[in-house]
Amino acid sequence: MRSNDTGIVITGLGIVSVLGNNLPSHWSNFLAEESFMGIRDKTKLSGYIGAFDVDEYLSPSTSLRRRLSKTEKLGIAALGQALQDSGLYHSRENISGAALVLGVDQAIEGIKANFYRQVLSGDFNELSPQDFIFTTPNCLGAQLSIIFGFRGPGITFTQGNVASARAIAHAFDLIRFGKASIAAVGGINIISPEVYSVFNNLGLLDSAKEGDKIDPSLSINYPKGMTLSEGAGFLILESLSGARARGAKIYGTVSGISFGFSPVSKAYTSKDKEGIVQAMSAVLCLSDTSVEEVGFICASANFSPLLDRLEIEGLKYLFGKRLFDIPVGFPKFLLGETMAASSVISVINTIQGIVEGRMPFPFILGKMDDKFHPYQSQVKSPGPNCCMVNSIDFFGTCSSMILKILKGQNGLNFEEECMSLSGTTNYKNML
Amino acid sequence: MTEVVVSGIGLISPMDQGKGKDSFWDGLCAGRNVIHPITFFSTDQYPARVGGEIELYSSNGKRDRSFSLACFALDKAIRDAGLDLESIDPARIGLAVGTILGQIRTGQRYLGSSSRKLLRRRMSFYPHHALTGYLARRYGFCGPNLTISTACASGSDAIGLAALEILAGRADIMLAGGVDVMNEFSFAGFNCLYALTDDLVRPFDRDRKGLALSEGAAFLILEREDIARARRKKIYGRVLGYDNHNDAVNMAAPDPEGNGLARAIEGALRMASISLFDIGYINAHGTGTSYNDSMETNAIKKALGRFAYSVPISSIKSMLGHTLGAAGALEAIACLMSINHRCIPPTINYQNQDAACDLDYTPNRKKHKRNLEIAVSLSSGFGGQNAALVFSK
Repeated sequence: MRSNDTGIVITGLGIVSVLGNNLPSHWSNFLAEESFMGIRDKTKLSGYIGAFDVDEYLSPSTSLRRRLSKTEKLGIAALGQALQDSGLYHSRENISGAALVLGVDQAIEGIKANFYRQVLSGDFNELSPQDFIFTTPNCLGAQLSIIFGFRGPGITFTQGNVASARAIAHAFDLIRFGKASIAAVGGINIISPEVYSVFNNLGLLDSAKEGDKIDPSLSINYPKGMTLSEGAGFLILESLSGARARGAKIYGTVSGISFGFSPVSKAYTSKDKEGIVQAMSAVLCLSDTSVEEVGFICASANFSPLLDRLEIEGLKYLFGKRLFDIPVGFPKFLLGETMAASSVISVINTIQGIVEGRMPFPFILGKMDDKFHPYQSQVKSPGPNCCMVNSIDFFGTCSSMILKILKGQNGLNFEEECMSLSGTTNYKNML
Repeated sequence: MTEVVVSGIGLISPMDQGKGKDSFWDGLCAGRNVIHPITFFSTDQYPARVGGEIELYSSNGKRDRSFSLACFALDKAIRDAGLDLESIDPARIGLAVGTILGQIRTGQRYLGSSSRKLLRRRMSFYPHHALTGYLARRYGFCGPNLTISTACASGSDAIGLAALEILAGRADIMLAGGVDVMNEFSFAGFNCLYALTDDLVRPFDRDRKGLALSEGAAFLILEREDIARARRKKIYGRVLGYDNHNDAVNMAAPDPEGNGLARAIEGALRMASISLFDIGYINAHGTGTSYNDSMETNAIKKALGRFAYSVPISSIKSMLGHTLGAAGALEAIACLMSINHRCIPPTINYQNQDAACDLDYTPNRKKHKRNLEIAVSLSSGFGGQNAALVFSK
């Protein structure tokens, strides 16, 4: 088994979020939200996604339509969009051998609770086999593989807030080790009353009420709790050579992804930041990227006091004074914590922001007061093309990714830029 | 090229009841049936009432049972490998856990309790990855931390992905395996699918009626070979190949043709760079359900062609039952023990040949095989998950 040394690129994006059911509507609402920030509304208290249909992605003859759960619909819509965006949607041959790697965490808890209520009823005839099947986390991936025809490798990670980061890493390995040439990788999250109740009981949620005035800077510098949210995101990853051969649009490269682990405790200690420092240091090394090259950081920050603190402390430790010059994005202020979907959604926001010339909800650390302040200036060409995307989970796993995003700049044509970026991917630590 | 070896084994199952790998192996070779009427909860309302239970930790302790079983197996594996955790860089040692329902017993208590607030602290340990996080913290592992849920292939996929973590250079040592516990939630679920037997488990037999649920935890210590050799510990074998493929056919039933599993076998053999002649034993998923066993037979024939008829196959689920997330790891251990003892455990309760299952299933008696160097472990699960692992001496 040998690694594929031609680079791994992103060729498709798909998203369903509280801000929109596709990338254009998500992004336009994302930008619009910035202009009327400040008032808590229902969306920001907990990000529920309303009803929507996915008929365009289903075969006309299917009987699935009438019994799809919201979780399945989110996955179908986001994956369908990503396949369309990558130009693979009508290419059954390419999809057939592709991998489908998914991060799922709380998305099935409502189904589990419902099935257990059936068990508690004591009436065997009340038990629904269909409900039971969907209590196994991989069944979301299985349903998507059946609908879209993925017959390659399929893995589901149940890893909390880093589930989809873990999925990206595995998809990356599958392509690198030649087990798949294309991988659809994503995450799905929905909120059930059971999940909401558990997080609420644990005191992890923001206690702000509807109508409360909020100041983003205050929330970022003095986090008080997170807002749970629903969403799904998918990326299409493939080898650079494969993408070029079929003339695919290329957004950029995943130059590396690494993980660390912090034994997180309620009483913050300096040791807690070691996991994210470990992940960030490793990914910089793996991708041959220096601290100076990083032009934007999409923070994991979900406004949970403990996790945000360890991330900010980790960033200060690793980047030192350089952090005063790097805009840091806090997109979860607008989107909420989408848990298993959050890493992929952060990647999509970062790519879209850089491609469109506007970083997602950027702030910058002030030299004088050591606090984050809104970063007013827009990305100016050439702008950052090297971005770091972080994710941190409550149980201590931390991930950090380096994306190098193509913008057709620096006097290079698209192909040359693509090659120059892929050339920076370092596989010296591989086989 | 980096080689991944297995340097330690730890397990707990109804076969050994915590007495260790030798007890487990002796039980398998003796063809001991450990499926009995369930005692952990009332089964009065269900058509099927048998399963495999571990007597240790049977009372409701403070920790979820899955934590207790996983810690037990991990402690054993670490001792078996002689790992001195103090002397290893914590960032280079990681953990991969496969589980289907994780801490479902805690979930059951929460959902069945009228005073949920009292349970709120315990519920913080309910998510699947709380187990992995807890174990990583307990042992001080700061390397890769993976929680995998791919139905009944979870344990195999955890081992395969852990090997990939080492090959990718992200870790030097990975502890990989799976855990699932006996619980009414899954017992009710498999009952309503009419997938459970009310009698014996008879994989590949014409009169097979279904599987029996069981429980267990099993972990393997995977290491880069140079590191394991430097410690001069016993090496059980190598992980030569791994692959995983979707059926993409049906949510509840496997592809009758076995195409997904055949692709997984072919992929794992390709990664292992071995010829079909080299395969000395196949540890089948062999649940004892009508659909699985004929599908698996088709898959083996598809992947191995005419050699399928000359390779001994067996299902330890005939004795142990189906341990769900732990099954792949326990079966990987059975493969490694087979290679080390050059002996193949039997498929018990096999009486009548099924026309759809016409391979050599090692019926009822263990078989010695002098030239047994390579074993293949197969797993399949809900949603059309399929995984194959290849081990060598």
